[in-house]
Amino acid sequence: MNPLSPVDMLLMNYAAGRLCQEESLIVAAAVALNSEARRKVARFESMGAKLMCAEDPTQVSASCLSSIMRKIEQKKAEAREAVTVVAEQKMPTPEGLNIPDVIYTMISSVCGHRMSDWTRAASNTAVIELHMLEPKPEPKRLRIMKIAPHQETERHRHIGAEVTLVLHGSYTDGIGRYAKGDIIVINDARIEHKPVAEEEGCVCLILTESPVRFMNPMSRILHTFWRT
Amino acid sequence: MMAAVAYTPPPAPESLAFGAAVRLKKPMLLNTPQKNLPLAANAPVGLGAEHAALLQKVGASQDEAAFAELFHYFAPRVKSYMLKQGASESAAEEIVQNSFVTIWEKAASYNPAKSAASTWIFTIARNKRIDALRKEKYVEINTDEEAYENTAAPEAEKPYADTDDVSQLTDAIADLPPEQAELVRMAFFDEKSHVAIAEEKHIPLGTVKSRLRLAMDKLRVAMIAHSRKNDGEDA
Repeated sequence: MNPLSPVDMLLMNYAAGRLCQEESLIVAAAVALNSEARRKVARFESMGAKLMCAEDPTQVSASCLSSIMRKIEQKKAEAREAVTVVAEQKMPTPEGLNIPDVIYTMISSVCGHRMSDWTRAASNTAVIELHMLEPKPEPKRLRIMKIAPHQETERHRHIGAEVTLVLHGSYTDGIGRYAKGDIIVINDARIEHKPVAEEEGCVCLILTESPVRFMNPMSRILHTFWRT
Repeated sequence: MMAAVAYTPPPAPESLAFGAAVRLKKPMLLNTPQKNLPLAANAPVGLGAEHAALLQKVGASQDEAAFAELFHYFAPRVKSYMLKQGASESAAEEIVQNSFVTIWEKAASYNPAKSAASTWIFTIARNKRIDALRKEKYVEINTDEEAYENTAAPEAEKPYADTDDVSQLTDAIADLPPEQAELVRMAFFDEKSHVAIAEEKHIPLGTVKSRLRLAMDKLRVAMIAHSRKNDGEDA
């Protein structure tokens, strides 16, 4: 019995603290852009809180509260001594990266403030590869992808799961139309689609577990070159 | 240790039709009334209101007595929750301590109009658990509404307690035997204490507790079945 859609499952897993860092970034960004996602995550968190509160209490150590108060005092003292830290300078964002500040801040909080510039990629797209500051045992590919207005991309399938958040503009792919704030989860290798940007173009945050598989054998070969 | 990857959908079985590309659309359509769930008042009542008031006291005047009261209610539950999630005894204790340090520090930013005190505390404890067990930062939702894009019509911006969606979740509750489902609704959505439920339903307190425990195990299984298989050590 699995009563939740893949997107709801992603949101619920965020609430439950089960996502990897890359996924948590996508959900937190989606929540900033999409009020329905925000409300759903809030509900799942509320559900989690109720499950937590319904647990039979386990006794904490006798010194637990006093240890907490001591840590609070200690942190206060440290804060008084701390030198004022110069605010971290915001690096200029790559040109054409139309994303809200709140999203940029979230990305730089886990990927650092240096963002590489766009590189041309397969099928009329440009990408910025993102790398997490903390090393991962099983790194996934996280990137920002830009499709110019009315540009078509190559028809392709996905071997692994892909989670996409539209950050700017919109695209259609024959299955649906997706605009800023929409989350798209593709977890079926037989889904074949051909995203086409609409008039504003499209900027997406994309997490993939394995490379996409292009339908046209020639572009499949080209794609291999582009990756290297 | 935790398995870090929670979301790895399995290869789709051959029998499935296309259509697993699912999106969450932004525009709100708020006209699917819940089938059979008379849910939740918006204003917190009873214990919930009490906790919210205590948390606000901590935030407003660093009230240690209010903090201690919150601690006595929530710390043992946060600890149980951590143990259930696979933390060792000492790790659970450590997470409880770090959670309460943060609760103290952030109490001033708590807004009772946006979330229940229990939810607010839950999210802090959840993030501390990830900090502690995975040594990595969970990307937190920005709680400053001003930072958000205005994406929805005002009527769509309803408080979280106004449960009009996540129908799948409530479907999972509806699948429970009726006597368990009703208690779950009373406990979860009305925030009634076990004692209040026992009095209202004229059943012994022990029965309320055992039925709720059964129900919750089933719900937990239903809600996490999908991710559990990728999260082997996290049980």
